[in-house]
Amino acid sequence: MGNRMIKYLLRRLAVGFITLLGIVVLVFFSSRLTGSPIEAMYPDGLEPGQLELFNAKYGFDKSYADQFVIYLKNLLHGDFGESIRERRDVRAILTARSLETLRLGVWAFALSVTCGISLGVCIALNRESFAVSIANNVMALLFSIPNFIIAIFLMLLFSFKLKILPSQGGGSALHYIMPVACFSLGPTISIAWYVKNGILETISQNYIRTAVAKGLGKARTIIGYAFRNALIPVITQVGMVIVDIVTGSLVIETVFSWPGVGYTLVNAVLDRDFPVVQGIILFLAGIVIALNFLLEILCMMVDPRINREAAA
Amino acid sequence: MKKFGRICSNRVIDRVIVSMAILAALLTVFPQTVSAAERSGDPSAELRIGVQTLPDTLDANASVSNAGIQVYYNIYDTLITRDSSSKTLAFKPGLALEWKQTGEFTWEIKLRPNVKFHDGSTMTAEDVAYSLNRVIAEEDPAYVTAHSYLLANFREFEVVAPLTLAAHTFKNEPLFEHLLSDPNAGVTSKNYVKKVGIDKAALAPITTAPYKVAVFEPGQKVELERFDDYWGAPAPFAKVSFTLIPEIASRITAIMTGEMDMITNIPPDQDKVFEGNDKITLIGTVFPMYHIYCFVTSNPVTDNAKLRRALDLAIDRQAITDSLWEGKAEPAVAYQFKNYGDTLYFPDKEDIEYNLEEAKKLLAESDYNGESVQIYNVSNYYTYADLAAQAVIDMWKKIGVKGELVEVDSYTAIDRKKAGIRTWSNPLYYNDPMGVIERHWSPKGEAANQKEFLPTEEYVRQFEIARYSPNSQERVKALRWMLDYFRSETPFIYLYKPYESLAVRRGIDYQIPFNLRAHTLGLRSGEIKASGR
Amino acid sequence: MSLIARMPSAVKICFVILALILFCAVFAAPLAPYGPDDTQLRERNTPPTMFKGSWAHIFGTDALGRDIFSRLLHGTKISLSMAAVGLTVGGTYGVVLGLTAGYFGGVWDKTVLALVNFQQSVPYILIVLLFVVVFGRSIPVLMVLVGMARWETYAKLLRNIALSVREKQHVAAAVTYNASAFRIILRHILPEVRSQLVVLLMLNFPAVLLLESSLSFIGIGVQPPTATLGRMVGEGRTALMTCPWVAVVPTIVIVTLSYCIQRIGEWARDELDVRMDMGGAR
Repeated sequence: MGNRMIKYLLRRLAVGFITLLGIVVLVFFSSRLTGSPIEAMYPDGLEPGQLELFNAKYGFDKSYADQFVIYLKNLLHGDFGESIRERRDVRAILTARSLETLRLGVWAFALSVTCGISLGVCIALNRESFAVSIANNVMALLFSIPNFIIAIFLMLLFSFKLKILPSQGGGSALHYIMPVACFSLGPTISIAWYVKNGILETISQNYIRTAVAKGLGKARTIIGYAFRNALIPVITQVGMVIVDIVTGSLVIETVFSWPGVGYTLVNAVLDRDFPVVQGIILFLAGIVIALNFLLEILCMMVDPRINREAAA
Repeated sequence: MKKFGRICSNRVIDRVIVSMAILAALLTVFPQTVSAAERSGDPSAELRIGVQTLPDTLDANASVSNAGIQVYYNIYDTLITRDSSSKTLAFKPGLALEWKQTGEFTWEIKLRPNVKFHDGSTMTAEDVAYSLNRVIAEEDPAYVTAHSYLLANFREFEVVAPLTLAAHTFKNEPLFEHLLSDPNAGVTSKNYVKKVGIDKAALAPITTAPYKVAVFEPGQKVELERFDDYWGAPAPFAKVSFTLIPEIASRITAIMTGEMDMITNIPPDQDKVFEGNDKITLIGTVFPMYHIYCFVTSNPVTDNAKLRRALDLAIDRQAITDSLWEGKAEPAVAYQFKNYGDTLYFPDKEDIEYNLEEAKKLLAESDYNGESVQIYNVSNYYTYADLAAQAVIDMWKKIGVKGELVEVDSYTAIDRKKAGIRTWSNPLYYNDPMGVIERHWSPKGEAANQKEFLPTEEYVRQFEIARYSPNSQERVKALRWMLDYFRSETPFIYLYKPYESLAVRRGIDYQIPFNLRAHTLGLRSGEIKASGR
Repeated sequence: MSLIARMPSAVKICFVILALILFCAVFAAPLAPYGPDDTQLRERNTPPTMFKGSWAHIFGTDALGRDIFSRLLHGTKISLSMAAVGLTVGGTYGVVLGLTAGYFGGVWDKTVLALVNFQQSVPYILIVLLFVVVFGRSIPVLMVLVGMARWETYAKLLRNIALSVREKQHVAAAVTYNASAFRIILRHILPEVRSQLVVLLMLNFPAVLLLESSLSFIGIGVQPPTATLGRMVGEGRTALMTCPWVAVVPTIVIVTLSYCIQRIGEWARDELDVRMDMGGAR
């Protein structure tokens, strides 16, 4: 059985790599369709002959196929290339920027998972209470507001008006409050809904009803049985939280002037700084794929049934 | 088996959550947030500036952008400097002590002795010659821009003695001081660049300026420190930081909360946020720059000079500046800048007017037949350009011309087969008519190259005189001829000089420096001072 | 009749509000007091009537003196049609892929699964970003891109259902009788998923509206001066300190729209007794 499991995981790993390769191909060629990074660098226009010089410097005068082969070769040596705008190694940009997003993302992740799960359980337990129905509505409302509006509103309220929280940078614990809150809002709500639905679904199943009928307390039953069963879809949902955080970072980092991956990526795409676009997307996709892989292992540990299914 | 699953699940989840929390705590290192100034109580210890854009490179020779000039002026010395405290144009010795024209095409430059670079080495003629010759030789493609608008007339800078240079030009150079006092002709250390390469040096330049670069994180911040061995008056601040804060609401909040001492790029509609706030001073400026419409005169719709002239006459510039710019931008009255000084500014050529009658008359004489005049605008590039274009299109309706705004993402996306007009800006690079004309309307420039501007042979001849003639009377005559040409041909429409504010906290004395390029932040001695908190 | 009677009053209200907004959107042109792009430079940034503004502009005007109410009507129309067309495109794409993957299985199934994985591992907004830069920012392009946002949710749902339906006896029988794949899908599988699909579409709706506004924030939304809800919010945000109504009014419309549709969707899910895993839709 152990052998089978390893085989299964190896197969998943291979699929992950192929996906990654697909992403490299897609991003490499589609980003080149967007136009010249050099022309984007000179919005007022280039001098005659300047474009050709630049193209020669960065190898853009070669065919796409040649460029791709060179890129892949370098990639195998761990070389992501050099940013055209910033004239420095993409790896340096990646480490600096991803660390900044990670600082926020880890908190946002922990917060949205813990809050989301407890909120979901809470709502599922007290489905009929008035407070919960209000909470439900508030969540639905908050979920529909564009996140940059929430971010700017929080900043105007807590920094501009009340002057109790700093508005930009990441110097102290206080600096983290607003960005982390904005980052985790969406994922918290979606996890809570997920958990709630999962629990409600399991509650409706027979064995829970039996357990309750046998005299076990309702809350205990839910936490003991229903929650665990509801957990598996939640774990798969957690992978989506990462994507949510990255998506949110595109917008929220700009508002709080947080020099993270999202802000850098948007600008790199608009500037057509191919090496940076490729590097960051590859890196993000790699993280998401790796995390999904780890979560899958986690699922197996939580629920041995999946183990058997996977092996079968 | 089931039991195992349960135990495992709880433990695993617990562990994951605990380890996440630990990881989060580890990643979140909280450095000191109190600014150096607050810690020491000395107001001149640190100046924190929140900016809308940061340069991608700190190689002043490689970028002529507005984002760059904010920083470059403070970290590069030039051979000659402009007096930033004088309302009239005056040049002062910089790295050069004296300079004189020794032949028709030769200048001799004597350098200041004992000037130290940030790495402790001493500056020689080798460094100056290298810094400028690499631009002339276009050692990096990025140097082509600075070469074309500053050093195009220079053949070579030759080292004559350790502290003496000879500058060789192709033609006579009446604008010698103007050209060599621009930060884009800044001087850097030859040995350093040779050692680390052009790309690395662009991230951490070594120069002779009063500030040295301590930290440069592109897209995030630039931190400067006072250079103690500076040859001139020491820098007013021990530390200066430029932090990128792209959102305007965030920038304003940052100065309100005291997180920043100065912020830039405040559009005029935000000015009222600062009303009644005595802790913050708003410093507004009208830039030496026009927002303009560049006609694509090779386009079949806009190839008619009478139509172009009619479109110009139908624009009520005052209405646009009054409304959109809250009355703070300056509507164009002439195709000139007052900054040229009295000898080169011609008040009798203040001939821009709003005249619907004349516009209708010219339109009737033109071959215009209801075609759509497309205005191409690069999104989010020029402040309010999209709004102004919509207002202009509304105005053209009054004379019966159909306008259309096309937003594109980049300059490249401008389709010159369809575009009748593209939005552009004409900044004044130095205080001479050529400071705007050579860069934008040279017969070999970008507009001519793209077949937007189709100069006549006579224009080319007059341009040569206006640009290179040693005889100032001849220059005046040629310049007047060119203004008439711009008037009759209308290859472009000057709209207004944009307005922008910056804000400083109370206790910092600052005013916009004179004679420097738009967007320059003057942080050198005598230009800014911290008098208290 | 019994359906309406069973409906909770909150859902009834949602229906009424939604109908009202739809009505306004459909009749935007006759209802709007001004053209959506008409600039009145002398009446810039006037506050809404409720906040000491004039009756000429009930929701105030923006930086160009354009009437926000008129822009709102036209913007809602464009945003709603973008969402509708987009959801149809994305839904069809997802449904076709999911159905065929579940039905035919094999290599095709694996390919579709790989595509779904791909979609889940790259933040979608990045793909949109790339494509907008390539194909421009016209409304049709954005409709397709925005609509494709959550195709993988349809594909996953449909694939699982198709898989399970295929095992059912009457379908298995049809397969053995050599009925064409098209016929089987149309006759036996699609009817089983109709209700799920409707619910999924409704729950995906806010995501589409929000994506459009995020694009405007980044600066790659629909071409100006075209008004859409997202663009109005994205443009108005810079004036939040001085003229908050410019951004707040369209935000309220977005929130109302997505809230009502979400509530109705949830109700429909319970009513139709649809079982599905639906997390958030952002």
